[in-house]
Amino acid sequence: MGKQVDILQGTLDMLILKAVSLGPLHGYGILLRIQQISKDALQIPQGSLYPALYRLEHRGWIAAEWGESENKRKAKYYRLTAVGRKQLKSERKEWKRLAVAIADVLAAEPEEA
Amino acid sequence: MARMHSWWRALTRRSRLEDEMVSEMDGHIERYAADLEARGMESGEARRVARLEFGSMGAAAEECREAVGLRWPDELARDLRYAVRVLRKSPAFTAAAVATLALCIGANTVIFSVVDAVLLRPLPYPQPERLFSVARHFQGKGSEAYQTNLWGSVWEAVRDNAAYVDAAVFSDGSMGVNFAAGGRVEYVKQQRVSAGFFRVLGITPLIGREFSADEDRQGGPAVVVLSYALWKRLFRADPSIVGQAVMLRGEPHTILGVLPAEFQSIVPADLWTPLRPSRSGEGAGSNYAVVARLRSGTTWAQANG
Repeated sequence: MGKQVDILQGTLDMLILKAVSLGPLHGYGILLRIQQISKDALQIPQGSLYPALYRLEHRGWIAAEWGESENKRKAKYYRLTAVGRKQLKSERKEWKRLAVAIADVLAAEPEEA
Repeated sequence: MARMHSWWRALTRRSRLEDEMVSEMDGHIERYAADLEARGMESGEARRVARLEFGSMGAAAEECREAVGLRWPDELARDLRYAVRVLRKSPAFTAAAVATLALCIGANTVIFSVVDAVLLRPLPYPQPERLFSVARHFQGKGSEAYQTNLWGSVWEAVRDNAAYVDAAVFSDGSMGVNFAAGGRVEYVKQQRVSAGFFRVLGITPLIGREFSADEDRQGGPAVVVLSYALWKRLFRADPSIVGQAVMLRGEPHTILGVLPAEFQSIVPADLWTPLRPSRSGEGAGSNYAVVARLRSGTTWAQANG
């Protein structure tokens, strides 16, 4: 297991939207997928996952449906809605701008006198 | 829209929301425990670690409720329960508060009903702003009164001197009389009004006409005007009844006309007969009331001059 990074405030929503954009998942599945894609670098606090899911569902960005999971147990599956897809797109754009801006700041060389 | 829908669903299917929340989080912990077990952890230990890492389910559930907008309804419900408990503890105070509220609301309702009927709703006659009643103004030491019950001489003074108004006089009450027509007898309410009374109110009879000055004098012909309801009930709305004779208090009267259905009488009445105002007899006492309408084309200033 590599070094873990605390996720930035406000990025959890974006990560969840991205995770369910690849296919419907239940809560635990979302957690696993984010860990797997980030090669275990991103660790989501389990307790804050569900409030985020309920918030996103409330906003209509994801939709939930009860289904059967891999071991024949009932699970609530989340999928991305059309509105959510739009939201993910705009959040990704914002994130890229922010990342570029921060990278620019950090790459600045001391000015020659 | 999505939020309103989601919030309403959460509010109305509350127990289902709670059940789903618990089973969803339980499922999460069980899946995590199973994964830990698969990595070689002992079953009991896996469960304990999974629970510990998830953290407080209660806190997470509370945050979920807040996320779907259930925080204020929850707090409102809590406050209401608290209020009920406190009120229950002091029944005397509660009774006093409820009685005070009941009295205030009751008094307000009564006052509003009167204001609504008297001030807010217009009179049920055309151009009600030009209608008025005539009153005598009494002024004594420190006291003042208006009296709308007038006697014959006052009515004559209004009739003969107020050129700008069209006035009529009536008896401010109705009396029960026996009415017989076509083999049927009925006890009905009669009101006495002068010639032009319905014209002043702005009411045109549905059929026939109202009283003329000739019928409205002592010794004039015995005539009667019927209400729409009476006409419908006793004559099946027969339009040919004008000119027919009916018995009123045992005396023959000729039907002159029928009033429209929408006419609202000042006092409850089924039929009207001429008042035949005079200075003597009932006219010597304050038994009359006068209603008048400002003639079209004249102003209040002219009438007051």
